[in-house]
Amino acid sequence: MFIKSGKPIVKFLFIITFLQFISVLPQEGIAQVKKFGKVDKKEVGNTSIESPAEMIFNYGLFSIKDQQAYDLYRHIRIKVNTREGMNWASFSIPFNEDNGQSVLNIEGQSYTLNEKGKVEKTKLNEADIFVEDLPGDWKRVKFTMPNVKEGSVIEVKYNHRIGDPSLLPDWNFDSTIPVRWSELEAEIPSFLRFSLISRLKSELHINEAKDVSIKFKLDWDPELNRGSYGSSGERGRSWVNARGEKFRWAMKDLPALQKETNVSSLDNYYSKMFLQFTALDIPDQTYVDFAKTWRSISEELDDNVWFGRQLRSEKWSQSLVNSLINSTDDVETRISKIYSYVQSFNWSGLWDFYVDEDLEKVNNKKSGNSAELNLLLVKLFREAGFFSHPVLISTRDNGKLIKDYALPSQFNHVIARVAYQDTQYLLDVLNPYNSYMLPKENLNGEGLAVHEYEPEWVQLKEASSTSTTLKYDMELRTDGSLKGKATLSSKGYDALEMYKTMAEVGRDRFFKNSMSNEFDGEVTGRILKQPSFFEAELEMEIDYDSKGSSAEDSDGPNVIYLNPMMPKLISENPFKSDDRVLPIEFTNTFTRTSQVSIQIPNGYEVESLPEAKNINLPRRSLSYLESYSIDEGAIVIIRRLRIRSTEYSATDYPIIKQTFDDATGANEIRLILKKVDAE
Amino acid sequence: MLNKVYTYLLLFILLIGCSSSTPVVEYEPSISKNATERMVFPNTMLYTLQGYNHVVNDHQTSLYVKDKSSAVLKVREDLIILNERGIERGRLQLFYDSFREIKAISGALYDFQGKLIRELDEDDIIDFPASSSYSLYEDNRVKEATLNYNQFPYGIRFEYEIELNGLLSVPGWYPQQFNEYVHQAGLHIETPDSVSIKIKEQNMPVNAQKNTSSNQRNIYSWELNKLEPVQHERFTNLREYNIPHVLLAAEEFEIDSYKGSFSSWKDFGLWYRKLNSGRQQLNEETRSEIDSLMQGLSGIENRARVIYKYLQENTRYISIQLGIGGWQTFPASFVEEKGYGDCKALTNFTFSIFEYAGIKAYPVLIKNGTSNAPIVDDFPSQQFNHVVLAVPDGERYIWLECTSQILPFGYISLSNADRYGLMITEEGGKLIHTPVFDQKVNYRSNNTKINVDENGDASIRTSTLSNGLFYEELLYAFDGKPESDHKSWLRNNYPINISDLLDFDASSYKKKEFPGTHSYAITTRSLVSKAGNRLFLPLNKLNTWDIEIGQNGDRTQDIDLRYTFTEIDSIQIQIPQGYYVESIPASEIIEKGFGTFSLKIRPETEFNTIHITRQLTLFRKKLSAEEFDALSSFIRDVKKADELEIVINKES
Repeated sequence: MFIKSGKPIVKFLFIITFLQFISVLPQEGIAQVKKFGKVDKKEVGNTSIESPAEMIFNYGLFSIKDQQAYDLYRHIRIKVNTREGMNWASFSIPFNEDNGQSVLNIEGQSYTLNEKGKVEKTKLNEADIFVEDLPGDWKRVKFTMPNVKEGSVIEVKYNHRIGDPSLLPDWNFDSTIPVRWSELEAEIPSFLRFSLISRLKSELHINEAKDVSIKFKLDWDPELNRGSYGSSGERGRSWVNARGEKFRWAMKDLPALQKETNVSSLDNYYSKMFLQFTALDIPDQTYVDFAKTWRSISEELDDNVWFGRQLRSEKWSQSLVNSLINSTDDVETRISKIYSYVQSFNWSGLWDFYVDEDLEKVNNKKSGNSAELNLLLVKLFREAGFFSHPVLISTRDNGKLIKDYALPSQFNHVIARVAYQDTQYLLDVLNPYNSYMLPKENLNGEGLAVHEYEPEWVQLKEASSTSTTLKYDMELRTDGSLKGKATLSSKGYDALEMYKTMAEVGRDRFFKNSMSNEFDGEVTGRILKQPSFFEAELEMEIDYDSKGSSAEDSDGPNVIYLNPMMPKLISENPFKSDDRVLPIEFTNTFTRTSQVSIQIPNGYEVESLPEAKNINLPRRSLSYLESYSIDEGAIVIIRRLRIRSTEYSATDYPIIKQTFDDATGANEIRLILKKVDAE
Repeated sequence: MLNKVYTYLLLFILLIGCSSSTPVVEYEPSISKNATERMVFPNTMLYTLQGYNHVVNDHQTSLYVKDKSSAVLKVREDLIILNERGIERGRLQLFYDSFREIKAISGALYDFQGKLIRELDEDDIIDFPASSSYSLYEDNRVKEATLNYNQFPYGIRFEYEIELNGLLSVPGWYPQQFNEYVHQAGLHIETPDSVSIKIKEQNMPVNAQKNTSSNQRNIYSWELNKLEPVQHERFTNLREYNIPHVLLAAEEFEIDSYKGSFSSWKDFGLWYRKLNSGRQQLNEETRSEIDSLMQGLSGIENRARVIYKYLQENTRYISIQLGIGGWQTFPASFVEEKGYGDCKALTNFTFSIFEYAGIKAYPVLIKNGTSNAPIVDDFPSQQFNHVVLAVPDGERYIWLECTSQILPFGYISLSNADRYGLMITEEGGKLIHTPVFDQKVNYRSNNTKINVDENGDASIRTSTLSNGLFYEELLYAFDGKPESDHKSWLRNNYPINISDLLDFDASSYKKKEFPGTHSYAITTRSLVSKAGNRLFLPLNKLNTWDIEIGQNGDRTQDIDLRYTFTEIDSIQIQIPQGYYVESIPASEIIEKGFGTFSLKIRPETEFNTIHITRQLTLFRKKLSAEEFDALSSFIRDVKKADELEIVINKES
């Protein structure tokens, strides 16, 4: 990940499927970033409504100012095309005062064509810049540009004092509007070491580095810096010139990144540059390794007051566990008792992987943030004698983990792992399901189990498979009404979700309202099996008597038109758009089957059956079948959808869309029954 | 979360600000740590049997008015949380700004025996800005205190003290929220003789009030017992209407040294006018532009149209609410300089232009929104959150929503329509009713031609005329968007799957004229079902009534059909050659006092066509709770009729 001497390494990562390699050949420098205030008249006016706004350029410069404090100088120019695009004229920049951050020297100007066809410049007033307090140590600077109309160009520059080099933000090249030019420059003095990591969708237009001399302020103390930077014996401040490199990366003509359905986090698809601070290295003086490896992160966390140290055994937690479990309890009972105890606490609504408060206080308050609750769980498991560890994860909406980039801030949550013999469970107290199956939102690649010595990567997978089978046995009466029995058996997430809905609506109302609407008539239902903590299964049975007619008599009495009330395998097709850019993601795999059997009334026969369907993607990662047959005097209709992968390429989109149409029953079928003696 | 905060805010206090409003003195409330060791804990068994999730055991509010410009509000609330679903009630949100200071918050948690578990501490309180997303800066903020526990039942006591600086807006008393039982509640008001308070009871039982007076202090008090939960039912849109509450207002008030009176709407209007006077000065540039725009134009409507266009092209809505700025407009020069402003600033700017052009216009204070209760028109007080401009033109008014760059000229918009507003005239405030949005205004007509082939594939061409709320919805979907967005809008909103979207035209919406027209041509495989030689043609699958009304019975509240509409569908289906109609539903007409529905089906065999006309109208009406069943079966009958099919078969 990092190297102790020599040039920093530029490391490239790629997003699956749509990306190419980067040529590291230096390109001729093309200056696309213009001077503040120099706006080409041709840029102003002439709006196109194809995008609400576009970035003419977005420039950032990481430079070192005082000692190791970094600044981000930013200069952005945006063309506002439509009313909607005017949102881009308002800025909100958060910063953390506690980290020594600030936002300074904000300057802004708008360029607007006036009635006479002249470009009118309007400056942003100091008085129109506001600072707002947010919870914690955060604040935000807010301002909006004056005199903005359709066709205006706006321009803003400011210095964002970042502070510690480990706090440098990621750089996104693209945006939700088109970007004509995006450029990041970074000054790195030779005594600071970084790992440079990029994740890009297309080639860098500019990728260069040159040797520079970097001048910055240094406060020094002769006691601390004996012999370095001159030899004056007094405490003081001076300007220092350090050798270093200036990197320059740019991309151009980037299309707008747009959110599509079945994308867990748009953040996974931005072209990004990350700068990871690894070491302070002053030759012959100091070498301090700040490099994070997953191992060092784990070690640090294990010893952290707000993390690992909270897990150590204490009197209160020992006696708590003793009061929770009996010596006669089996292993699973112990696990579920401890889980239920913590699960009854209230979640404050905050995600974190550090505790804010001592776990003892959390236990008294019966509420906490996501880390407090799950670390308490780990602590209690340990007190009960289990092998248990916290597992750091990034939830799906927080984006995929980039494993080559060892930075703990990629995580936003911590869950608990508990193991005995060969079995291990990943548990999350925030789970809405009260189950050993992780919430779907947690199924996001891998998590880092924090150990005393060597950390361990843990797969965040579905703990058991998900499927639903619906069976309808119907009897068709001659008046066209239907009567019969339906059984549902679900496993995995389907079972948990359905059961949760039932619990929310109330069991009685679930059958009385939801199901009687579904079947359009009288319904009595029972639950044969309900999910328990270690078993995600649901079975139920419904007797129904549909008062509504699902069939119509033709003008003659000899034909029945039947609409066989097909259950939907998917309630609604989320894939409506015609085309697709991003991969299609599913949180989990699943199989859904429906089997409808309709008893043909005496003296009738089926005139014709619809055609069967069979759709498959290569390696059967997705399959759909629909079949119609007659079996022992009944029409049997089977539909089955299998999703066996959690990510599909955009090229599979047309087939997935078609399959989901079929699975939602978008194209309704009708069956024709004829009187036999009518012929 | 902010959304919730926001609704709560509206319940509590309505300020003149397009969203919310008013200013800040940042300071920490003292948390008093002296909770009583015990709380009176009721027997909760009956509550649990009733299915309650929480109850309010006792709610006590005291308002001590010191003088015309200050008062102290003290509230104590004892809550019993019965199960997990009641936990959320243990979250207290208090709003503050420079006119409302939170002097103290305290809280304590008690177990089921009423024994103190712990007291509220600093960590249980978070403080955040209350501003809406449209705001650039507002100085009102929220302190949110949360107490919860995991063993049910448990008790919570919250106590807080708020100082009101200026009595422009005295919060009303709402001891009950929806879906909660209140065991007892009390309101206690003390005023000096020098300040008179106006009081209006709403939905209060008789004999709840007991007044006394002593030593130049007037004391008003109310006591309520055993308030049964009130559900929020559909088609009411009246929110707090059904919950007992007391509205309060100062007869005379003073805020930032502006004195005013609520003794009549007229007086309040005079105050508002005075507060905002002298802020209408336009600069030379604007004046000469207006001069040249007005040249050669005659008639109020023509000139107003040009002024509104000028406003829309040169400004945008950005909210800044600071101090008295929650009530007082920024001067016209602010908008000239920056090109933006909030509702007050933009309305004042427009008003200034009208004044300069010598055309009469009046700001009208409005309680904006589609789901809140109407203002209480016989209780002059601060009940508004928005302002628009009315321009008299002969007998009528031209209504201008000055914060919108999208709405057409003279369009009041749904969230301002059909309600009383306070028109600010030279003679003071006057209540005026804004235009009604009923079935005569809200109409849509679809003209559809369907061509069906032997495989059941269909091509559909539809042209739709929309007005009123239908128009507004589409205007927001189409305005300023490229054709690709229009097409994806159709794909996302069309009731059946589209195979090919051949053509989409919404250019009429660019012209900002209503009614608007849009049309499209598509092909689909999801309209017609095929079985053997037969094809099943649905009567109406493209414009169904998307409404879930629920089961009959149990309705307790009267019904207010507010946003009613008319829909007309003319459908012409071209069937393939060589097919005959085998089965066809009968035409149908349903007429009720609150709505009519008709469906006419007419085959023209010689041309292979079938004509269907469908009309659905719902009337703007108030119905009693008993009529709910009739309404619900009307809806079901319409839905059922829409599902009928025509069957055609191939001639052998």
